[in-house]
Amino acid sequence: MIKLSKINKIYRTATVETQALADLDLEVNKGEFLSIMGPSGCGKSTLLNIMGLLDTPSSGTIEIAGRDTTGMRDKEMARFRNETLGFIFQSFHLIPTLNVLDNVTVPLLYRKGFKGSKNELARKALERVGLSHRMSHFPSQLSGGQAQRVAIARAIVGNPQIILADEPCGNLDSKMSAEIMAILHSLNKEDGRTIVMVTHNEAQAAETDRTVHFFDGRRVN
Amino acid sequence: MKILRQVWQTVLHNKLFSAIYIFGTALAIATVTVYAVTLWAKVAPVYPEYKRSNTAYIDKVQITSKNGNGFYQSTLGYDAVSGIFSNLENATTTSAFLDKWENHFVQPEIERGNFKIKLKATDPAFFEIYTLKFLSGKPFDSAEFGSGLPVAVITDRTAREAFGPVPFDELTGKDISIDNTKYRICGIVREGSPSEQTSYGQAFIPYTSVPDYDSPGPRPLVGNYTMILLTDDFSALKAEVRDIVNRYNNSQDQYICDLISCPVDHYTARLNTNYIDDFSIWSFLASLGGVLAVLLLVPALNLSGMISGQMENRLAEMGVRKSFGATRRPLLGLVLAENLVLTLAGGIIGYAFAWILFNLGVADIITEVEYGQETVFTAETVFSPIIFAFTFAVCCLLNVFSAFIPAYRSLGAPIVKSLKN
Repeated sequence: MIKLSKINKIYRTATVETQALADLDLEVNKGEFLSIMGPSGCGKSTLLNIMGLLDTPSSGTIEIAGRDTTGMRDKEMARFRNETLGFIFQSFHLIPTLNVLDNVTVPLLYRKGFKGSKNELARKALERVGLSHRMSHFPSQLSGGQAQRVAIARAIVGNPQIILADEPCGNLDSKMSAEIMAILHSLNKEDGRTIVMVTHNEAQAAETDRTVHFFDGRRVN
Repeated sequence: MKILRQVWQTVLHNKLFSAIYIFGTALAIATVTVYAVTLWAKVAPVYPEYKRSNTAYIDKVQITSKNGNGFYQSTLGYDAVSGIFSNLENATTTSAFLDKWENHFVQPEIERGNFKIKLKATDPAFFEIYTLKFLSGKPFDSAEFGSGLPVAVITDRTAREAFGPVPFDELTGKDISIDNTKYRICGIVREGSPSEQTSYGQAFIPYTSVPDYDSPGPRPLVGNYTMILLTDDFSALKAEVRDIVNRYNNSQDQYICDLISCPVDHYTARLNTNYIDDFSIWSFLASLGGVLAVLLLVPALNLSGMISGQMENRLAEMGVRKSFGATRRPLLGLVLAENLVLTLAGGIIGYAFAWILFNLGVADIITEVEYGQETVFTAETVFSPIIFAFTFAVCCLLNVFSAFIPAYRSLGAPIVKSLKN
């Protein structure tokens, strides 16, 4: 489903050159729930950003859902992200001036040729994460767990094949984390979505199909 | 609706920013609106000057002694109005009014003191050029004018102040005392605006009823008259007048007459009060654009700085939207639309603020109102569709000036950097 080949990412400033990812090869299979682990600064989030086409590698190729993304223009990339990828962020990144329903419809606003009812799809996504009773609330009125569930609804509303989650439970307590993990597993098992999750939590990683460990920009297993 | 809801939430979320933004915009729009309305009042076909596009004036003459004894500049004399310029072939209507720059007072019937009015001594043709609305009666006619009868057309305001709440129909035929002389009221008209200088009056009498109306001036052709003409062919009229002046200058050897670019059309008279020969409407519009740019530049720069800060705060939001497939163009549209709503809110408040400024008389400073009269900008002028459209266009310009560059720059930030914000 995702194939990264010889990925390098180098951050350059006038005086310093930092290699965030070095000659990375990684394949994620269709329907797999993969977790990525490693210490802070080892390049996990950089990898996830590159996988999600939010950032570009310094070299190497990325193939997602059978498409080579090398040389894609910004517009193409944006469309590809919109149709194929869903993102869940550690700090939720909900838009504070939009209510829950409107937050969830955001990906549909940018879907080319979308004809159906955005609100209807958003309602269904919210039902899926058990938040249909909070549709008119604003992010500031939600708990951390609720906010992350809204973020998950937003990630799935456009029905992407792949979900990329960057420490989705990083800001949550254990009970809420368990709820979020349960939702992610259901999205993986019931819908067959491919999920790549960055985490620091070994227990959560152990629940996934496979774990890849990183250190200093390199894969160590 | 969705955008309005979001803007409202943005306003609630950033109360101080929104308040300063709207207030700043309101001030800018108020300034521009005051400027636009005062300009519009000078050139638009507004009551009772509906024929401005065909109107021309002769209101300046300079007589120079051929023997080198200096020159005399003034308005026209009776000998010019009734003599050499009385039968202009290229003028469809010719009128004149006499203005001796004196104060005039009405002695009212009701119990109150004398009150000052703007008295216009003119002729029947004046009512053909300026379509004053008669609420009762009619203008004085040629016979009354020719006989110099003391008759008067007064405005509704003068009627109310002089007689109180008497029906206008009952006032026609009654006398009104102006400067202690009785004038028979022959008509009552709706009052115009003092900003419309040539047509404005609160009472209109035949100039033939004014003592010494035909007395000669200190030089030939000079005096206290202004001629108003209607013409279908302004160039031909100008050529005809020049020809008359040339013939006059050749016919006698004491003086040289110069009409200082007269006749002038209405627009030149109002926009180029010095009657400079090479006046061009395009250069005027260019300078108008320059004034507007200056009026808008300062608030636009201030608002631009504010939006720049606001966009910094919204970097993460923009990053999220881009993550989910937004490109720069729809996001730019979103930011501009949101700011346009705020700008329009500021525009509406600014428009109302301009109206208050007019009523406080602030516009007197930038208009040339004679006799210190109160400036009355009618609703017809302030709320004209053109002014609305102009204000809306200015709002849009201000929005684009202030929001486009900071929004465009901010939206160019890489997604990852935006998300880290």
